[in-house]
Amino acid sequence: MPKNLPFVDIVIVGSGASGGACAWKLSESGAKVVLLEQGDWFDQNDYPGDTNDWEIKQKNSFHFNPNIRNLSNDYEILDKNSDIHPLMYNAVGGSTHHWTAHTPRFHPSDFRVNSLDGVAFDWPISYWDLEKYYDLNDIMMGCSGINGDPANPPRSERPMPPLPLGEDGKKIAEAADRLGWHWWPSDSYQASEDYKGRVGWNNHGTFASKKQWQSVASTDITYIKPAIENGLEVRTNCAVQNISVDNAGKLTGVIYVDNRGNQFFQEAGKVILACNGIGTPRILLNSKSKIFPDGLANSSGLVGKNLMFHPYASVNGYFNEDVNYSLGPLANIIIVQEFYETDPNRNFVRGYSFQMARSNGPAHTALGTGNINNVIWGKEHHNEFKRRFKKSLGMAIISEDLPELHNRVEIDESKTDKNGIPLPKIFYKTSENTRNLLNHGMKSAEKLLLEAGSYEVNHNPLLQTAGWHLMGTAKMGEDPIHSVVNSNCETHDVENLYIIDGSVFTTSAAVNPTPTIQAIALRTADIILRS
Amino acid sequence: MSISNNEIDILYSFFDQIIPSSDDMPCATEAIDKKDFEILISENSKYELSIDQIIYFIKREPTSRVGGGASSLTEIQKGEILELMESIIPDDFLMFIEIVYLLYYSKSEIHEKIGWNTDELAEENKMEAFDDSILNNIKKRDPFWRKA
Repeated sequence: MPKNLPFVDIVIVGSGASGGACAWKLSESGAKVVLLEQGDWFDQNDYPGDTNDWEIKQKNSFHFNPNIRNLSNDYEILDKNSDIHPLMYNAVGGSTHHWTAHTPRFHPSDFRVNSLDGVAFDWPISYWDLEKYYDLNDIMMGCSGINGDPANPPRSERPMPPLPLGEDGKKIAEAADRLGWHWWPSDSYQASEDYKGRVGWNNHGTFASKKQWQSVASTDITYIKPAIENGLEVRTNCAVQNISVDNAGKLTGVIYVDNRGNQFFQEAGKVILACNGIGTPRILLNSKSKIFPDGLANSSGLVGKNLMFHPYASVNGYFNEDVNYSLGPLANIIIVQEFYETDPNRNFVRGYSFQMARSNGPAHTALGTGNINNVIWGKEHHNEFKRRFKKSLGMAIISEDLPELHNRVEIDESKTDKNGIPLPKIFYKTSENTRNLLNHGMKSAEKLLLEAGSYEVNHNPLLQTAGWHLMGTAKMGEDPIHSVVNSNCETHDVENLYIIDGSVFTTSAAVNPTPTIQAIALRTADIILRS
Repeated sequence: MSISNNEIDILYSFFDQIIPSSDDMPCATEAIDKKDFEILISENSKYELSIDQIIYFIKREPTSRVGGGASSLTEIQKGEILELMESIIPDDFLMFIEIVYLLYYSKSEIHEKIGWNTDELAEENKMEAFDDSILNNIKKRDPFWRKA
């Protein structure tokens, strides 16, 4: 029997991008809020940088993929039936410890894809509903960037100037100018200068330096520490097994287990799930009861369905000269949105963004990254390494992914983690629309790189290892038959149960999702406080 | 991971076939200590199955089963075995390559030779601050975001 803990107003499950933001906003109200995190605190001094073995760590203990990292706080994701491998990090701050911090916003059109293009669904909220929360989040996380982008609506003053473009970034920008294509310095939650006690980039260093990691915003620093000062209680190493309801289906709290195997029942007035597009449906589907035999909040049958990633393709270009690619941030440099919207003359709907990406360190260069095979072994090894090292850069194509029911998260009851909690199993296939879209993107990226002076390009039509963005598995909508949460992010089936991570995305857009996830989390907190 | 010293020696003896020396670069075993190899594979479980497969592959190769066994393979024979390994068990072979490349390119001596300097304060690692004159052209474009 779990040990009963005294009632609290709100329990938030998950301390990443959304959980951290929501916890801070709620903590300002004086409510008793408990934040449960299955991982531990992460010491910024532990980021792999400045040591010679940083690339060994990135391939092992600091790998993006929890199945490879295999740390004690990770759970395995059964992904053999997926074209793309999901990535996440489990610690206070979640995956904001392990990201490039490339932070574009959704476009207004992204919330209306059915009305505009006749596909998927419209969101029940608009860009304008989120605008002030985007602005607030930009200040809290610390956004480097510059106003005036013609591909996006005007926005508030960026708190910091853009990160430096570097010689390679200038090559791409000038090439885009010559082609008459859109480009703009990326908005980034990497501090270009010292900001609110955080170390800034200050135009100095390689992307392998520790400063690279420390200047990137993570919610343990930006949101959770100030929230603790407001009275937030954080409990680490606590894995939630299920959400509890009474016989009438009314929410009562959560049951979780700590890292010593002790089980607790935390009674709560409200529960907010912020565990990402895989972790959240995992908890809901594991929360079966007599009254909810198919899992909690699942009367629509849509919990776990409509899993969306952002399928990525990439094109890498080689240059004769040193393009100084090791200097500056890794992938939050330039965004190109020339092909963002639907064009009826193309063989796909919706569109994509380009994200310029620097290559990586010496070992990653030798091993190949994304679109390139490893440097040949044997007699020609050194010649081939010299041809590549510091002389390549890439364009990543980030595509809009449309929701499809067969792409899904299920629970495999026969396989459990160290706490006995059944593991998530995912099924995901890219669609014909996505493949056509990515093919168009690769041709465009090749054109851009050749214009920039590249003498040779390599293509990768699908980065299997790029499952950073987990969305759609508890869809937002006003109709309880066709969605899991309403426009306030409260589940249709269970009052006082909220979801605020990427699960609630109705559609995915074609940009990195974190600012939108956090804007939704802040808005939800505001709605809860007003209620 | 249970791997004998003899098996470590056998695997290590293949390293120079993967990264031989050149005019200005050392071969793999000049840069990588055997101990580093042992530590890497013992601390990271993801290599375990592949290492087992590779050892099994080497030992069952006909050239390894005559004469003095796998320990007395010639350099030419090692190269031939690696080529076979690459075509027959490519995923395991890639793990072996990953180990050798990670260890080799994590060495200060190699970083110095290839010009990789992560020192934040080094003059060569200073970037020019963002200069918004580069936006002069794109700023002329009218807003084209789709109203919704």
